[in-house]
Amino acid sequence: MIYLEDIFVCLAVPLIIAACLLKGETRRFLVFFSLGLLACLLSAHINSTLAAAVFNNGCASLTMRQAMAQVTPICEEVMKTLPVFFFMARGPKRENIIAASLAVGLGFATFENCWYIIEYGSADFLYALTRSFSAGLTHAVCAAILGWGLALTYGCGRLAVPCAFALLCATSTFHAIYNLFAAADGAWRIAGYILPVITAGAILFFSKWPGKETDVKQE
Amino acid sequence: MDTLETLDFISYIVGGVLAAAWGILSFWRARGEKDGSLLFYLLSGFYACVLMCDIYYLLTWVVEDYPFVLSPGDLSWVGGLSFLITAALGLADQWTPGQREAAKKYRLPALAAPAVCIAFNIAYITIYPEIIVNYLLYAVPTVILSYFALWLFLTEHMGSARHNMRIYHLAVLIWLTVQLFYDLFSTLGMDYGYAVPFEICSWLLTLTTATIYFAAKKGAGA
Repeated sequence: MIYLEDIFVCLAVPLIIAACLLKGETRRFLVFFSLGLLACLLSAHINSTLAAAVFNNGCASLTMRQAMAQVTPICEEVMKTLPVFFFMARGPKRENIIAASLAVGLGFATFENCWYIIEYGSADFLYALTRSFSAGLTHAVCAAILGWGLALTYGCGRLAVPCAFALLCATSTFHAIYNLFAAADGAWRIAGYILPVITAGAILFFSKWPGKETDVKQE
Repeated sequence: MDTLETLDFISYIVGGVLAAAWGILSFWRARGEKDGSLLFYLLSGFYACVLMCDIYYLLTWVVEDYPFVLSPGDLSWVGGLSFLITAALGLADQWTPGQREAAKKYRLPALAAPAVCIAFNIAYITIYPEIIVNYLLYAVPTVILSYFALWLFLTEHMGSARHNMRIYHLAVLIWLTVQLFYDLFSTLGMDYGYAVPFEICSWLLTLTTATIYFAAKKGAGA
């Protein structure tokens, strides 16, 4: 039996104390990293409740594993997005949205990695390494895509709402695709482990964040 | 796997490859602009969503032996529609005050598009009420997008102002129309399996998805 709240306290308390002592961008990063930890804790509870609800309602005759596979990515991505939405409502700078989103994603990935390492044992280094470069990176990639996309339409008024929804759908599907790959066997699973690495590589390659002015080119 | 099922499988693979190609092209073009072109960034998001929808559908086929009726893959399609809605709103924001004034008179005629979409969706729900959630999930963004696409098309086509993007709006409208028929044949085929009209629509959908990029490129380059 793993007590997730205990893991959360161990990870979050030092960070929150450090955030109280620091200022500026470092403080913001620590706060959003802690919010990522909290998002992971909450989504762990909500996932199982929602999946059980879907399973018990006999929705499309899914098994419990399939119900979890359907619900988990959507729930986790929504939970990761909420702190960024609240931050955006405060009118931050465009660059800070990307940093905040990444911090939430990294916090989420850290908490999930700690949880899985405690649950499945820390003796297998290969498992830890694979998990870091697959599931951990998936959260970071989703957070980067979301942050970048939100920054793109930030300040464009009514464009921000449908774009945010579209990004949420896109990141949820990316996450779901990774989960499907990881649930398979053999070559499919390996492809799943490689998917976030390739996507992260592509993001690094194209990592020219949107400038201050964005416009729809017409003429 | 029978012939039609194989054709369907291939259409998803071809659709995915094309979506990846147009997505990369859209992104590349957007990056080439001085301050970034929002339209092409949004189109790359749209193509990424189409690609992910195809991948998810094929993966559930391979991993789970059959595709889910309602899944995150469907959410990806909704995401794609939302990217196009954002693009439509962005293009409308570029209008001059004169164009905005002229656009007002096309608001009412533009309601014809959502009316058609709603009629089709009522038909789907009547034929196959078991997956009403799926239909509603698709219907809402489709109705919104169809309204904006027709409104923007009418304004640019009939109005006296710039006409650059009308071909883009027309491409979106054609794509939506094909999607409506694709969904109709998909609904009719729920009980009878794959059919030739469904396959034709499936390939037409792949084709018209690609035309959206070219229409945007032509409009932007005009």
